Amino acid sequence: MLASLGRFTIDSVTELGRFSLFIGRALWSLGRIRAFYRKMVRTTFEMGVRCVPIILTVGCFTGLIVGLEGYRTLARFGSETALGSSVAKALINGLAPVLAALMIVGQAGSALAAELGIQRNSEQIDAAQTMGINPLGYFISPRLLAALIVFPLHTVFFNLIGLFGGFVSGVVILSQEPGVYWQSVGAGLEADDLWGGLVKSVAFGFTVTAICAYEGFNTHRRSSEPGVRGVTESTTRAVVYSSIAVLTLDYLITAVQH
Amino acid sequence: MSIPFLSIQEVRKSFGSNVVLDGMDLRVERGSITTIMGKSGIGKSVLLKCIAGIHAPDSGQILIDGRRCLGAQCGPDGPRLSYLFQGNALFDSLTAVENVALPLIETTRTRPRVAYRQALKLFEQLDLGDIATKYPSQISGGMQKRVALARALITRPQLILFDEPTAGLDPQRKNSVFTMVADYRKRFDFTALMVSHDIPEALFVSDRVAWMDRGQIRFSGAPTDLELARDPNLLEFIHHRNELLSDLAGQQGRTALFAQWPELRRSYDHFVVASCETERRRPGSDLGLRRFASYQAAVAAITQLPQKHSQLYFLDERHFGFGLGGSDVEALTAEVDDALKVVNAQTAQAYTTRYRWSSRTYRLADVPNPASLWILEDQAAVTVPNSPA
Repeated sequence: MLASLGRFTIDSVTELGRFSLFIGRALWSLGRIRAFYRKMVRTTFEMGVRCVPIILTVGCFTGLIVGLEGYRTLARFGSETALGSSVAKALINGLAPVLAALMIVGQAGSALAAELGIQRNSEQIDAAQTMGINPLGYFISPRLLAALIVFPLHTVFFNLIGLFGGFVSGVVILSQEPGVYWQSVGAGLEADDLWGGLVKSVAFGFTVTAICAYEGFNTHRRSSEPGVRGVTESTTRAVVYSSIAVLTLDYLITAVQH
Repeated sequence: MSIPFLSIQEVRKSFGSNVVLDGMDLRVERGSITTIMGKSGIGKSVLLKCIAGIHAPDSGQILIDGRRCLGAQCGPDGPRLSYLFQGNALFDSLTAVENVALPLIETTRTRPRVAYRQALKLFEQLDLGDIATKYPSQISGGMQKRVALARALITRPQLILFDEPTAGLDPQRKNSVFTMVADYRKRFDFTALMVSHDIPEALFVSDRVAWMDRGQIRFSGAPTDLELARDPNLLEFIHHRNELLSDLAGQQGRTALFAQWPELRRSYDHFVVASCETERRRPGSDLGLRRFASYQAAVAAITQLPQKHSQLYFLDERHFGFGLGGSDVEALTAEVDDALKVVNAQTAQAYTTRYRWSSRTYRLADVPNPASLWILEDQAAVTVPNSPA
């Protein structure tokens, strides 16, 4: 029992060390990448476009649900007019960064881990190394930076769509005055919440992309079986670890903010 | 002794408790094609990856052009090295020309436009036709191999590591890959280290051959030296076709003969080796199928002999042997020859190529082991055997 605990602790610390080195080296190679901007724009575009439909859908439904539930709760206290504020508060520094991050993990993060896993299995990463190309610089660094752009953008996008969902619930379904809803949204918005949401999205983006890239990149090392099974394993691990990381970071950042 | 272009000295590499390279030594001369052979999973690719810098050896040293460095870690002034992966390792998201130009764009100061121009020029040189704008998934395996080879050549490497370059290709494409390797070596002047299972095809293009087993090089020499090799594992690997034929003939092979030789000497007086000479009547290739049919006929004829004889041992597709009892050697030999004569006559009617079976008889008391028998057989092959017409 004690031995297992000790082994687990040593393995965890070792893995954390490897992960830190991985990030460090990826960042270190940032300055030495050829055609960096072209690669980053392409990666940002791929990552961003891939997630638009899911962000639209989830953002809209989240707004709709928060609007409906919020209206019913507020109606008990005769405060229906505060619906816009409650939707904005719930989304901007709470649900939007977290849900947007989880959706991007499911859509782009899993794809990133699988893609890198396949590239590892088909020896493309080794090929890059033999050609003298730094694999971390070529495969990872542009994606890490792209995440810093894509995650906040999608979070903003999620917020806007969510507020629109709240509007549909409050105004179109429950017949609240449009002016009352938007005025309440405006009243509920605070600069701290906006910045807080963006800070979270940047933190989530970097962490999530790093985890997914690390898992995919190390498919050969961490998988008990090579081939398709290995890619499946690393993709699953990437999604699970990223989701846990998002929720843990959300709690920590929220605690610091308050 | 000349200084080798690639020198591998006492290299060891383990993965956990699995020792893959156990004090590996190998020399590769400048401008040569050296082929490493060995069974699957014994670490040939690991060796190439150690040279390429993908794996770091646990100990020992690898010198490329006299410098102690690994692959791309040699730096821009170091020896240029390329690696042709078994699965080609082309980047799926890049077109053929982008794949080929990639090393130039990423590792040199060449502008992308110039790199693409150079890549297209190489496409012309290598007869790659109009596949430049196609993605790897849109071209055949053979073409992918050629694109991968073009990518390996674009940086004008001094050393190219070929990891089973013909894996997964049909026999014709395999031959064309070997032809390419030999042809490009002359045109682009590089040293090649190749891992291949394709025997004998790979041997025709190789200047040197190395046999790897249990983490070490157990044989190294010219391809023709293989015929003089005596390591049973190596012989088994080289003559892998014999294993199939021995199984098909339902006979035990050389390994059993070595093991059962003392018992044969105790139980029988003589050992007879039956061998086949082929007399071709017209030019053409021979798969050996008809020869094997004549082999089976000869085996059947001997099996029916009334004299006391041991089981028949498969030596190769042209030879089998057996222990023979009795003291009247001449009479016994005559009966064996008569049986083989009948076989020769039958197969002469059936096939245009003539297969002549003959036999040689040795006193077992004079032959301490099968290795001595091979020596006697080598001598007998020079002299004329008692071949029945």
